[in-house]
Amino acid sequence: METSKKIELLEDMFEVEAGTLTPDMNLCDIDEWDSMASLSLILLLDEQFGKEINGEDIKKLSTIQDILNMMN
Amino acid sequence: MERLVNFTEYRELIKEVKASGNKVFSNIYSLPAEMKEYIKAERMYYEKCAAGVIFYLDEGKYYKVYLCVDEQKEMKILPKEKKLLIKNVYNKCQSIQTENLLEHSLLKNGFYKAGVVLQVRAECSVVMKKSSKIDKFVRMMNRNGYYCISADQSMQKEIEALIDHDSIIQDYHIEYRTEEEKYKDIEQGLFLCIVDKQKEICAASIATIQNGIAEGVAIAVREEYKMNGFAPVLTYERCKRLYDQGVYFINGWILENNDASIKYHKSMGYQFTGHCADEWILEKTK
Repeated sequence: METSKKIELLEDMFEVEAGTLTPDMNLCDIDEWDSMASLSLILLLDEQFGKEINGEDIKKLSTIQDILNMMN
Repeated sequence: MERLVNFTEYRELIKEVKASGNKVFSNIYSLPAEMKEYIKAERMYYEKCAAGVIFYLDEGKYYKVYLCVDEQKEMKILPKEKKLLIKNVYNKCQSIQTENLLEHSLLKNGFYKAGVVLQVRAECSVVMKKSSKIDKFVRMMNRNGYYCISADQSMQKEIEALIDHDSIIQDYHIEYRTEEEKYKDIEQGLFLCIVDKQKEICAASIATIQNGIAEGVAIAVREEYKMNGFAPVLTYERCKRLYDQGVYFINGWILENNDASIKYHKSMGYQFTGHCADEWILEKTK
């Protein structure tokens, strides 16, 4: 999947406007990054990428790029 | 401290303070019916001082202090065998003159401001709109061996210990419940938890229902399960179950400096009421 498509999925997940997210963005700077977003990410990776992640994996994430790397 | 014997005595004490005609400060927000309950349960005490009356509600691990004092006179509060909490609720837009007077007086008595909390309120039906995502998540969680269940009586102590050990929830954030009340709360499904296959508790939430509104909701998640999505599941399940019982609103307080909690409550559909409260603490006698 192309990076742009993955970012679209994340924008949809964060419920932010298209074009808001860039790979170098820090998650702590994104207002929508909270427990609910973390739940949504676990779900997205499971459903669309067949990847099981947990809270420990999420705690290690710091940028959008870190999430994109998980989407490989 | 003297124990309040009945509601008439309580009313008379307040009347006495107001009789001077001076401006009286009070942080008594409890309804008369609630006061009557506290007095009946022998949990209410009082002390007179030059400024008026100080009421003490025994909350088990601490006393919640209610003031009814003449603003122009000096207030004297001495430390007790339990921590003292004064919660002063105000509207953010309100004049802060009274608050400054109170602050000065409390500092003089040895109190310190432990925190500022913001009042939040949610309509259960609004939180339940998150259902499509959370229902899917719950199915996935179940596949992985985690289940959200209403706790049974055998889980009470473990849930309380989990909440006690939470680094954010302080002992003075939890209101006193008798063992009998807790028993009923559990029977009513107000103790929720997420357990693994071995029935080990990974996260838990407690609440009480007062005047048809859920209050004092506390959620604690074991360190190793943080960011696992369990807190939203507990909030959602709580709302679903309350709604089914005819309880449509949840009230709560969150710390002003707890950004994660503020974000979380907003995303779950909670609204800020505009009320906040300073939490003033006087440590117990050594």
